[in-house]
Amino acid sequence: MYQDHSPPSSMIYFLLVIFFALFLFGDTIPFENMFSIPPSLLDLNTMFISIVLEAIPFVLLGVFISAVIQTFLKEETLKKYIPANPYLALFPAVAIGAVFPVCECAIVPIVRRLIQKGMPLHVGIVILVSAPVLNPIVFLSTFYAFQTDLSIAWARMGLAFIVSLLVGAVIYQFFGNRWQLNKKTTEAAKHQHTHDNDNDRSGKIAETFQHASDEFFDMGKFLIIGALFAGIVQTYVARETLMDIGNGALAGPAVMMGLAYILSLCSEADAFVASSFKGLFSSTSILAFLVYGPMTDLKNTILMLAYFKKRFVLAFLVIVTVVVYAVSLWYDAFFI
Amino acid sequence: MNRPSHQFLRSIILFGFVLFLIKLMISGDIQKFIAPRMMPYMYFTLIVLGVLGSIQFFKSGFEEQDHDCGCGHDHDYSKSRLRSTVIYLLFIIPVMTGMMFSDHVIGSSAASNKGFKYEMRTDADPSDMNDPSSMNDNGEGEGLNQEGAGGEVENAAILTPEKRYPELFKELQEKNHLQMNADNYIGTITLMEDGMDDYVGKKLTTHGFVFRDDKFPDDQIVVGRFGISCCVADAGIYGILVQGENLGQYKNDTWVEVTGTLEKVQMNGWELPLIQPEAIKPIETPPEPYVYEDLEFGG
Repeated sequence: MYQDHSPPSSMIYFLLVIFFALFLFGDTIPFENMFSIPPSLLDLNTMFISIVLEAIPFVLLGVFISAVIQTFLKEETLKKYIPANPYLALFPAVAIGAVFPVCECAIVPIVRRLIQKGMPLHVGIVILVSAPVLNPIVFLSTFYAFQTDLSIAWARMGLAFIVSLLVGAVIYQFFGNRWQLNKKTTEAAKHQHTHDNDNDRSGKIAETFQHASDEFFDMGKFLIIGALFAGIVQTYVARETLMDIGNGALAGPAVMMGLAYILSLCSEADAFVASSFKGLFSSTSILAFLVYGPMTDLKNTILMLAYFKKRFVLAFLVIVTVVVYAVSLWYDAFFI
Repeated sequence: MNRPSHQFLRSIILFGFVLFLIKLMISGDIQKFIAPRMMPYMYFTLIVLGVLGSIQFFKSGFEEQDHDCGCGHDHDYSKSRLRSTVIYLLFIIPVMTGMMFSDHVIGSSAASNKGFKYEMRTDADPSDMNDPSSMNDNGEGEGLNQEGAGGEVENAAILTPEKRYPELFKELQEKNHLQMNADNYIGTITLMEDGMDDYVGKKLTTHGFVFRDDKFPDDQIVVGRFGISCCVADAGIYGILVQGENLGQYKNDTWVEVTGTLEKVQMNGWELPLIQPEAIKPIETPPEPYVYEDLEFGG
């Protein structure tokens, strides 16, 4: 079935030896001086690896939760609880998003699995955008970061709620229930289907781990590419460059959304970064940053490409951007 | 016979990650990537990757028994050698560069890239320097834009810095000579930003790396440290402005300890602490160069 593309064993042993050598002597040898590596490249390396390390546990959690969903959630159960009216179905989806404190790296494989299980696309997307923002941990960190102004934390939750519903509705308008998972994911789904029935429990556990490992590598490459891009931007693009575009009522939210996109911060941490912008940007712009960042960013766009069709990921990006921008302007006009 | 070899390579890569994590944990360098409160997640990762690696490793020994289903779902192994090499390199490279350069600490160049918050737009229109609410173009920004001025402190539900750091607040109020250390670093600066008036005239001893921006006048530097809430990517600079003669001899990224009397300056609508150095001396880079946001909710 396969041609022989597999790496030769000798190479693999060699790799193992290198890993061990670096494990033992990696920090005693001054590689920096040997190759005269510029400090900015080392900064990039540190940023890149820290993003990877921070995201891996959550990707693994997402993979395992999605495995549990795969094993224990019956498609009929899912159908029973989702209202037949596509617009009514948005509300339980936001509720699910609000209850589960799942961050943006973990939510992608979970939503993919739910959609495979027959959840309507737009309902899945509502969970995808709402879970990383609408959750108690994010509320608390926003609360801490904007200590003297409670309204930021509440407005963040309120706007995220509205944006999630709107994004779901727009996605339904454009895509209905058409299948938007990519070919690879679809085939994997069919395959898993066939073996739902015929496996005993211990086989299932072993299989879960096998799938977890496959998925770690499948998704990991997107994660690593995403982290690399985010690291490059963090290291080489000065934030001032973006800020020079402006901080007026129209440009401010756009600039902050752009910043949220390229920084690709974890939704738990972004409030602290945002708080360093108060005084420079209006609270509307800061809210646009806080709502947009967890819903989509550079790292996550690449992560989504692991499972969804390219065209859909692009459309999703445009829809979320337009909705968040419109909602922040609306907020600015009526509440500020 | 092809699969086992892929599985074998994958198991080695997973072991590579495990070795990398163990190395970081033993040397303590993990704190140069991730905040301490994230450590439970790192232990979780270590265990899971170890288990996954072991499973792959033992499975790679059994040739035909590999993928239980055998139903032709080859969704994982890439079709061409070049492609699969590139993909595996994506995993191998961070493990290797990570182990090679794990002790690297970000410094002044990253700081100027991220921007010292008070400094970011000092060359802008001076009319909006002192008033954060003027940032809002339609001029009716009173509602939300008073964080800097602390206008809404009356509301009991609001978590003010005083409530967040009650002991430190008391201590800073009582003492006349404030000492900053890794534990009170963020707290002290947060409290000072909230109400600088209480601290003017007190003595302060602080430390950190030297950092300046192109826009800084020659006699001004920031002595600061990076504060991290989850990982280095979200690092923000916390620092004290230092103004005085002969600061030029302290190059960017040198760690110094400074003592001086606190003054208040206005910049971009922030009330900032500034000290004129009475004593300044270089110090060793501390083993834990970053300070961490103290979040009581933990996870």
